[in-house]
Amino acid sequence: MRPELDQQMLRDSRRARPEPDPAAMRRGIAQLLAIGERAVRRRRMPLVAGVALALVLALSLVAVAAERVIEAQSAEATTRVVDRTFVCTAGVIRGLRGIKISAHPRNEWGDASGAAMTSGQGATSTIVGLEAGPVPSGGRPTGAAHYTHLKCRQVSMRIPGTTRPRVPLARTGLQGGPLTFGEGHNCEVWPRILVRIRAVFQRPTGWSLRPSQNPQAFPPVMRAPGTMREAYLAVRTEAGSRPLAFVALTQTQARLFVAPRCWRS
Amino acid sequence: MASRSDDAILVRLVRRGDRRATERLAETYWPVAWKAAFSVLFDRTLSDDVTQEALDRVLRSLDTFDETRPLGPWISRIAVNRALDELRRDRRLVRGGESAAAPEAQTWHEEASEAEIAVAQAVAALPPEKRVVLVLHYWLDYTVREVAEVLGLPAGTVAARLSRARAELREALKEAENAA
Repeated sequence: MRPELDQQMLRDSRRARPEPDPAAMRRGIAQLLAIGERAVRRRRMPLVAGVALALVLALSLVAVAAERVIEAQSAEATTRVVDRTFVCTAGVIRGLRGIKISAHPRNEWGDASGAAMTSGQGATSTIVGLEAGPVPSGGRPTGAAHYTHLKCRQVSMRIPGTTRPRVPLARTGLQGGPLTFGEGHNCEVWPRILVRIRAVFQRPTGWSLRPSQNPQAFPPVMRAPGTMREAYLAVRTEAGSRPLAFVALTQTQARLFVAPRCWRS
Repeated sequence: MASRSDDAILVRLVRRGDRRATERLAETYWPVAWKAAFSVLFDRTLSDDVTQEALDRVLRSLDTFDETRPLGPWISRIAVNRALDELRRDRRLVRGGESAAAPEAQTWHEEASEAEIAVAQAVAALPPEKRVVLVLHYWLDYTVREVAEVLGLPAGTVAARLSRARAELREALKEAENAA
């Protein structure tokens, strides 16, 4: 028979707490180190580096243009399926760091279904977007998958020391269903999130850079144009890989699922 | 656990941007922060996220940290505050009555005794507003006054919740034993 609960037993029971998962710990520490290195570089930048900063920006644009060439030459250039996973940075609105996930089915004007993840304010707010494209009966002749190049970094096996995080295209742990009208939900998040988009196009397509005359106001956008048969958008937290949102699109229908912590906007 | 002088050296190195020192600090104190977060949240995945947020805050605040103080308790408090923010955001502290799903027995520490696991499991099953005061006081060694301060409650309310929580635990453990 167990002795009656006393204060010492209560204190001792903390020994039952589990240990953290080593894999999650390694992922989290790797991200902390990456942040730390960026912060150290910012601190060390000399104040007179106005010119140096301009140089860096110019080089970045060159690098982006070079990536465009690489993109054009990559296997995805002639594929019907685009499938990318990103680490994206969430912006701040009214003091809260968060994202908004919105989706809409085909509307009465013939616009096909679409989905977007936005964050922050103004024209810079769209981070990732999917537009399924025109429906057989007409409508806006656009369809594309796109993401904001400066806010999202594609997660790639080419970067040493990183592994591709898994972002399942699934609604597990989320709430929602098919949409009759467009809907948006806000989720408060930590700065970086994992985003995966997958789109099956009717014809082969590829990514290209849509440059910007005013990158501060309108960041460059990577875009894969074309009409889609189906598309998916999934969002997770970075460290704990918790599901935040999942959208599944056909040309006419949209299904939207979000985490319980999110609220309808 | 690192000694106070080890901590001071580590802090100075991290401030200078030493990557290995940063890695060492994170590896040493991740489990500390994580267990503090888990004590509040009883959710492994949430605790992963909260721990990363807390350690990020720690690294950003190291410039103003008094290196003569030990790191562990400071880091633990940051993790607890983040975890409480998470509970408040989820409105679980306010709603009341909804307890965390108690973790399965096999997720508890393998070296814990049966009695310790039984008590921990009963703690996990308490409603959040009672569970939080209990773990802050008994697991994380906050005084009643410190619990009151961090939760924004009168000390009397904290003392009363502690008393009710202990009574509920005793009942729960008795029932569990009778059912076994």
